[in-house]
Amino acid sequence: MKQTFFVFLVFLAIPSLSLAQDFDLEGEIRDAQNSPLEGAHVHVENSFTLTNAGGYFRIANLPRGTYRMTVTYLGFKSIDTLITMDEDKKMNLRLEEDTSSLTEVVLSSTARRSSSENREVVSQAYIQEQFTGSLAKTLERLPGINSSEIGAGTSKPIIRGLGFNRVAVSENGIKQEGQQWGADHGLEIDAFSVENLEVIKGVGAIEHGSDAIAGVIKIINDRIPMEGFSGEVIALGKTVNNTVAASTNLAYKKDKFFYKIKATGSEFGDYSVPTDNIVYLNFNIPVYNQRLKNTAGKEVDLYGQIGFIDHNYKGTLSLSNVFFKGGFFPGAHGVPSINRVQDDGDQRNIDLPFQQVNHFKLINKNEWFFDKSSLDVILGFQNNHRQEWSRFHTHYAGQTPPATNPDLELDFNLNTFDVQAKYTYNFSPNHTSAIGIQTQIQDNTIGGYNFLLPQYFRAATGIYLTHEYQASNKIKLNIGGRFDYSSIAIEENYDDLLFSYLVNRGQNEVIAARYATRSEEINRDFTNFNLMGGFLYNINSNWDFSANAGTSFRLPTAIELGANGIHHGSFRHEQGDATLDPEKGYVIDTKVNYSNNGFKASVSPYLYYFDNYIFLNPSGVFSVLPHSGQIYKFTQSEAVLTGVELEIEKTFFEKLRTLAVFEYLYNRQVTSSRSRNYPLPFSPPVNGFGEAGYLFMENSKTFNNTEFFINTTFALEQDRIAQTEEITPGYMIFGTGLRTGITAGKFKASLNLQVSNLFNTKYFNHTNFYRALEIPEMGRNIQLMIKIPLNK
Amino acid sequence: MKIKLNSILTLLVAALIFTSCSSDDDATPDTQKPTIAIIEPHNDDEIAPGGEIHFEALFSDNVELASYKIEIHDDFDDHTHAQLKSSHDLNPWSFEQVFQIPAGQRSFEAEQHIDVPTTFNGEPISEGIYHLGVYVTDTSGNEEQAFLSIHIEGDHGDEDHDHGHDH
Repeated sequence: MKQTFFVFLVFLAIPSLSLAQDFDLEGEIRDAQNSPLEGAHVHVENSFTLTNAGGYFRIANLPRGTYRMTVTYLGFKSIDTLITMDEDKKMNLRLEEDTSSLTEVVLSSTARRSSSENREVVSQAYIQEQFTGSLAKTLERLPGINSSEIGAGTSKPIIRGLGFNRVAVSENGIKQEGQQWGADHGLEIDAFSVENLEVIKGVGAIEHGSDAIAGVIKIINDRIPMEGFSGEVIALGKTVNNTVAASTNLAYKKDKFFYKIKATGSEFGDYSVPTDNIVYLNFNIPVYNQRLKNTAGKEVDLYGQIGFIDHNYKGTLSLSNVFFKGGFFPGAHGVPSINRVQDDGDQRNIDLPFQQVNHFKLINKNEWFFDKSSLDVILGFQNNHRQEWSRFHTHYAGQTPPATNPDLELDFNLNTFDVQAKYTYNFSPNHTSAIGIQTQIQDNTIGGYNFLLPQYFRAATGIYLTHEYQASNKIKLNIGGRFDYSSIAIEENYDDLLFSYLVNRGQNEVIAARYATRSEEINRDFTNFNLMGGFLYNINSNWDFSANAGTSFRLPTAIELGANGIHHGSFRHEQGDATLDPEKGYVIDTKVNYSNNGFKASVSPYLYYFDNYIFLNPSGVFSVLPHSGQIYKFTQSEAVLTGVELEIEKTFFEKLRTLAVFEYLYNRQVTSSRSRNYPLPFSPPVNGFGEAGYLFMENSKTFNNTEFFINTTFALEQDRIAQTEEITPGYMIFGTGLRTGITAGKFKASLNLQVSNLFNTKYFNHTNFYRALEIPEMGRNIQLMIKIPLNK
Repeated sequence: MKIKLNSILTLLVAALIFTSCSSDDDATPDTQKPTIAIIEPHNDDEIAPGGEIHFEALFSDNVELASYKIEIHDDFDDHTHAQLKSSHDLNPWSFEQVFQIPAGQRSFEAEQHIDVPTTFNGEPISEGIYHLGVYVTDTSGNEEQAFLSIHIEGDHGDEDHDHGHDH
């Protein structure tokens, strides 16, 4: 078995095995504190490797000669040197921290790119400083990223107009499995505890399988801390909803073991909107004191990790629990009614209706490093328990409240088990292959007096192969293939009370039974085959170009297959289709980078095509259920999506930093009738972000890296709307702020004061869940964050 | 090298323009919702059990109207739909019917007479505030809705409901 496996790999690799007169280079990369740096990029001519957990690297089979060697690592000064190979060499290098660089904020590496992926790297410092209430919202400043928000504490990331189940989010290799299918559930991840994050746009399915149609947000939380004790304490306050938050990240490393404890607590009140009333349908809903009633909430997140590193092994066991409780604006949970939004004098209470989510996660990640290969084994267990509480209500007579928890409307309990293994083999400095297998099992149970999502069981397995070929020191190629098999079993849900209600109202029994079947029993199997290929061309020291093409897929959700009834969040009758196929996307994604002397620019055009984009389509048939208009059916249609992202950065006189980000996106269905080619729902308009920062007080011993900045976020009108959406007018909002580091003796702190929506502008965001209710975005917000490092 | 890069960029831009402009213009999808103007009843009109609701509204659309639905249900709990303590004593009436609009209409005047029964399931119907909702669709699936409150109460004079029955 083992032998055939290797033969297979060898076949795949087309290796060039000339070993005569070659030498090996090995060494260790450490930081100034002598801690090993894992994942540092080591390039020698056209060979490339990453350091392992001990900071160790090895490049074998280098012919005699002189080579350019570069070592790069985020946040550290790069080393660029010449080495002569005339014998086996050992090199131990230390990297200096790059504190002079203000662009620490978004560390898009200035070094040569080593991968063709369209990738943005975001540091912990960036996420903490830009924190705006939730992780997804915080990433909005990156090109091509938006978020779908509901209220103040909940939001989901959108990449290029694709959100919900079309964005895969992973932590330490395990996909986050919450309830991505719905708009009103956020991403259950503590933004403050994220150590490093990468956004990979475009082709992401080969290593992640279903859901990575738009891309992947990879969270990396298993960095090895520095030797000894390290940590930080963060305090945050916000005026827009009187947020009080505190967070602490502690780490301890001694010899081969390391430990981390992270905790975050936050509490916030109703958020303020710059309006006194909301006009929805023909209702005028007052907003008392410009505070949106019942949007208060709280969050408590805990994280613990134990790690072990040895010369050729690194393992971590991470345990986390994220708890969130937040109110729903009563008008968003039913037909708006004036009495329900009356001011109750308390801006911090969480009244009915509200939601409560608890996400528990256990990840065990193991990596073994061998001479020319490595093996990763990752195990994961997640429990996502989400409840919606709303005073017991009924739409048809005869339903009595349950004996226990009468106000528990919806209760979803999702257990997910993951097992993954990946074996990477370096055939030569130029050829690297990987083979991986992933299995995921999901079990969802339901409760509550209402019904929305059926009970289901899903099992999915994927096998993939990837190969990387460094064709020359300028050109790198990679290809990959993946095969997936999955099956889903959805349980039937039949509503007797609805049946008798409808019959009582004079409906015929066949129709009544059809409506009373809230979900039918469905057993479906799906197979998928995906391919991708990409290349990176480092044209010269200023220019590089990459292109990726490939396919990705998304399994239809239980709701898309099986639901039938009124969705209380959107207040319409939604109907699944048991015959839906997996969504399949084809992607071409390209990126051109230019960088020269403090000037950086990138352009990234892309094109997506979907065989069968799944969306809710108005059927034109009225539902017989009370409080509903026409039935919306989950339908699949061909669709096209294209756009371009631009990013420009320029630093003048090493003092004035400017940054501009711009996004254009166009999408629509592709049908045989042009008049049916509607734009896809939740499409961000043309939008952009610009910031200018000025560095001052450079000679102060107390204050360091002091910067004053102003910024603006703008969007043009979105008039390319899907059916039932509203045209969203354009807007421009402004922000300003000051950040500085303080050093007083042994005491160190960093301070970040910022104001967003400076002029308290009333505006709407087209991708906000509350857009449909005509609720404007948050008003002026003054935010102060203090971060105190605890390092000795 | 520069030339090579320029040609790559030109190709990309050309590809984008081609894909985004290939089929616009002549038939843009209709995303405009129909409009509803309810002429009768008026907000807070009173109707007695046994009487009738005279419904009259003007619908219009930029392309073509399709159908409408009238729905009446109680608002005893101020629309929380919460189970009231005395709910077992309540016997709310409700009504709901879908009507087709003849093909080819951009505007349509709807008129319906809805009988309010005195009893439902053998018991007198509960009096109080009811919501009347109107839903209208066009042939493209765009939908608009409008609501108003009416009082179904027997004690009062019922001058609103003395129209002639001409259909």
